Amino acid sequence: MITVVADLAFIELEEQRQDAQVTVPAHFWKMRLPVVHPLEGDLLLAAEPDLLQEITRNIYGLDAEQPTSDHELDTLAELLNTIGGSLMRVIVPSTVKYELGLPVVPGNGGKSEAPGLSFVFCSEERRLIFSIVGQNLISEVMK
Amino acid sequence: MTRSNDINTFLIVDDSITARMIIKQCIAIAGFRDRAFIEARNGEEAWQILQHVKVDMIITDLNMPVLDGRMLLERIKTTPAVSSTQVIVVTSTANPAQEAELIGLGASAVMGKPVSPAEVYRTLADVNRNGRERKND
Repeated sequence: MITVVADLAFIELEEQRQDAQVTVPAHFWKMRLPVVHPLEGDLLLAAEPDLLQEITRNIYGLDAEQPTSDHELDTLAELLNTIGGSLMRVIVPSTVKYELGLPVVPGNGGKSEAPGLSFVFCSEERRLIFSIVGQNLISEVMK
Repeated sequence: MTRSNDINTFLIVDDSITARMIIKQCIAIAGFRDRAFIEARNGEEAWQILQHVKVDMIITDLNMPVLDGRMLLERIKTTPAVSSTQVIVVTSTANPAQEAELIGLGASAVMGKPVSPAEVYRTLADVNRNGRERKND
């Protein structure tokens, strides 16, 4: 996560240790990426609007211009896709192909507990929350 | 690195406008700023473009709606009119197993996301050099 965001958007993130269950605020932008093969589960990425706007602006090279919400959602989807691929490259043996689904905006728009295993990253108090859902997926990540 | 007249037109295929923009920027920084860039949102759109436009290099994602990158690659490599077009796959699901299969299907190279200008530069140079060597054989 830290490397992908630094390489694509030139923003430095720090990981925050979490002692309790992570809650994703309702106003965060959210994206879900299904993991299809050889493990099954979902990857979720939620971003504070201000941080996602800065990431999008940096990737697109915009100055004062505001990115559109379509660009912000597409950026979130592409970030999740890239981070998901990087994660799978680490946990799946190199002799086995892995497959991801297409990123989608999750149905529930409200404040919710991030399911599964969550990691929180921060840039100037603004948060990105990455969650892994699915028991076998979590088991592989924890190894 | 590459002979400047080797590649004139790039076709970039990805369902993400952000990914297309990043790839285009990387290619431009790698020394191809003045080339023509055509974009398609999925394999089917790319296939339709290929029926009407001469493209020198296709850079395609794998995981896309409508027609994915693997199906597009298979169509291209089994259609004599366009089979010599170089295809580079850029995907978040790149690993050695995936790469071996795609190269077997006729891809010239496979790159994992995120791509960097340096990686694009090296890959285009390798693909261009290999293409010239095949022509000279």
